[in-house]
Amino acid sequence: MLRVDQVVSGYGPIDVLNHVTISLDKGEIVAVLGANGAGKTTLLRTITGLIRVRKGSVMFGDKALNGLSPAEVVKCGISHVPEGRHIFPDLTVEENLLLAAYSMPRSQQKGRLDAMYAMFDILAERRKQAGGTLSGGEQQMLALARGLMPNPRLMLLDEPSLGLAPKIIGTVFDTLARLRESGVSILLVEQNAKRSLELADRAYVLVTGQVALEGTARELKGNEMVKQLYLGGTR
Amino acid sequence: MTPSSTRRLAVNGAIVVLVLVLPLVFRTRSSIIGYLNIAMLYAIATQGLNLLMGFGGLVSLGHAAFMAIGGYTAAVLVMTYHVNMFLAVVAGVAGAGLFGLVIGFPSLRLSGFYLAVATMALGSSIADVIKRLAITGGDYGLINIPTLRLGGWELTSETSKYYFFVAILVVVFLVVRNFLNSRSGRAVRAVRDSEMTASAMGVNVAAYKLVTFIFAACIAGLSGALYAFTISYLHPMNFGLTFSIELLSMSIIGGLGTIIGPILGALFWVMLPVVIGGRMEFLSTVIFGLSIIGSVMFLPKGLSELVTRIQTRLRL
Amino acid sequence: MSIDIFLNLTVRGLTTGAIYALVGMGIVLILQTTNVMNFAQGDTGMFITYLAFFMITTAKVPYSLVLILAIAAGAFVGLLVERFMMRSVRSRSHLSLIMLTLGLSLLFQGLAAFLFKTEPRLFPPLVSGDPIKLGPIILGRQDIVVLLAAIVTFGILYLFLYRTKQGAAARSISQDEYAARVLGIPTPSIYMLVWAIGSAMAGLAALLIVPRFSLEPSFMGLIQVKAFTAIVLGGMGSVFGAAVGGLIIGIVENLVAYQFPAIKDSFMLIVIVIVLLVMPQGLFGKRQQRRF
Repeated sequence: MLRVDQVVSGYGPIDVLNHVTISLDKGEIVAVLGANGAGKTTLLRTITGLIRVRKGSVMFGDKALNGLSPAEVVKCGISHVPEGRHIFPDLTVEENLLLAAYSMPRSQQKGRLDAMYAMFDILAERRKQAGGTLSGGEQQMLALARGLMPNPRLMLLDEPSLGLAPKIIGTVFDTLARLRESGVSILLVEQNAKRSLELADRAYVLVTGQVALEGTARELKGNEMVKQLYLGGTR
Repeated sequence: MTPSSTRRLAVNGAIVVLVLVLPLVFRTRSSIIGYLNIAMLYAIATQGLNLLMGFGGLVSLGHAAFMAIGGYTAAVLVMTYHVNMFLAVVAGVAGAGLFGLVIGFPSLRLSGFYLAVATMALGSSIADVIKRLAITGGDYGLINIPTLRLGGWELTSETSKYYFFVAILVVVFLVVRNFLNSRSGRAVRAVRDSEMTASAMGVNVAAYKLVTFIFAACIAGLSGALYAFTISYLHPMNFGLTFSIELLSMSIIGGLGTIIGPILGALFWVMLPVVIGGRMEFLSTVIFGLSIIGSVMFLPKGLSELVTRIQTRLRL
Repeated sequence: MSIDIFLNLTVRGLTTGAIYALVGMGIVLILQTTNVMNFAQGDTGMFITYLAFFMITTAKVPYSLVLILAIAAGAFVGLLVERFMMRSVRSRSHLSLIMLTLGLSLLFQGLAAFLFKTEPRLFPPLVSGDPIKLGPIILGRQDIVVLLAAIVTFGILYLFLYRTKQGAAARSISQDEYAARVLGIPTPSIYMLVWAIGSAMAGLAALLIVPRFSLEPSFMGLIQVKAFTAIVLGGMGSVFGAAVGGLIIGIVENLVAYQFPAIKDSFMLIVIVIVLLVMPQGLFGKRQQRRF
């Protein structure tokens, strides 16, 4: 479904991703692990079109994503939930959600909105509240809902567990599992390797812009290096 | 000596000779020399602004006010209090520096657009206050300011002023260049590039911002004082927001953050209308506007970029 | 000061303030959404006014049509400026952006002077006739037009910002531009839209106020400075704060001018600086920058 092929990209004079190849099949949850600065966020930004692909290609089905603007990528069926949630603080929950379905016709938007409220009742409760007044966990739910509004086939999630209490993290990962059930494929970038490997089907490990390791989640869970570097501490 | 350094010496030498000989070339049209003198005075003021913005990274839309303070202080001291001209100029510079400190304070708390608006307001209000004071001639301006004198020598001819200003210009440029290459100068540039980093490296950001403002103001004050004794007439509205923007434009067109930028920009600004001729004077305004836009969009280093390219062409 | 004079000064101040508000709101809209402080706002309006003058006097186009055409022209100019100038320098420093708009301002002044010559001209007001008397208040007819136009514009702007998806997009960009792009909001077209609206408002403001002065290339200069005072007072982050700020400035300025004509202008300028230092977020802004 998604194929990132030998991609090189970066910022200014620096190449952050160095010939990275990643693939994801329909219905999968694929985790991308790695330390800070390994290029995980850059990878997502490259797929979404926020950063230019310098070499290589990004294919979604049979459509090339190279050079598309983020708006066009969303229309292709990919949504991106950015690191740090980035909720619009002075817009209401409802406005936040509607903006995520910007290019959708009005009638369709309403349907999606209702679906989101059905899935996340906290959001339904707080629909007229300003985004900035929500708690961390609620904002993450809102961020996820925003990612779902455009009815994506593939969701890119950047560190959804960042800064959240362990109990909330549990809720988040449960929600992700539910999403997989409903047919959404997920590319998950995370520092929380433990939970990611429990959830994902396959995983990659990025080290300084290159794929150092890849395999099924189970394989990686048993891998010595992974155990030492990423599963050792309490992250 | 290498071929390129002999070439460079030759070109520099030629430029020096050209500069020294120019008044003789134009001795029948002293008005041209007059314009060059004005251009040099503007270049001095612009050098101060360039220091502030190009190297200090601090926006100022009120620079003309420093010139005004330098000019008016010096002029009033000489005319009303019969102070020696040299001392009056020094006082003008000091007065401008003092206001540099005052106007510099907002820069400690504001930046970017906010600082631009604050300096714009402060600069305009200084011009406005000058307009209302009787001692400065108020709305009529200050007329009949005595001519510049060097010791006992009155500089009445444009040519004599020319050489004097060239000397001053060179001194100012050297002082600024040395400052920029000094430890303080590097600190100033560090603050421009990243306040946070500079502060983390132990640079007293606030002190350097103020120093930059004071220095820039002093230079502009010098220009203003000399201007007063050259034109012999000062009017507050000539030092308002419009002129501040003109100084800014000279800085940009000449090339922000370069040493020769100010002189190139000032020359362009003063001489273009002269070259175009009387009837088409508004064409120069259009060209100025386009030059500023073009400069920002395509040639960030302004005219100095052209100079650099010529230098590379001639393999200097 | 008697009550009658006070009321008249206040109402008159409201009409001037409405102009400052219109110019200021355009500036804030553009500032918050595209992060550019448009120092050419006033002169854009000035240039549109010259075009309108030409249409009325030479091409003999009826006034009401001219009004519509001029506003459309303003929008078009704003769009062009964003598309061809601002877009390529978006990532540059604040200084570069300021200089670009100052260059634009100079360009407009030069073009106006060059194309239309600088002699002051008299611009006919939209409506002529005797002033209207409402109780103790005497209002010129043009003043009424100004007030009505301002109210309508405020209303339209409110509807745009809070009832359309483009307006919501503009607000979202002002709060978090990165997030807006990530969500797939077409930021380039919103930028153009916002510039078009802002410039159209400048054109409208200039057209409304020009009968009070004579038409010359510099007539919007001081008004722009006052508009900046208004947005500083209202909080640079707030479009409607700018509106309120403009109205307040208009009224206060008029009252002060009556009692102490000498300090009218410097008074305003000192106000800006004090507000910036003491209360940089203005009356309605919040602590951080970049909010509607």
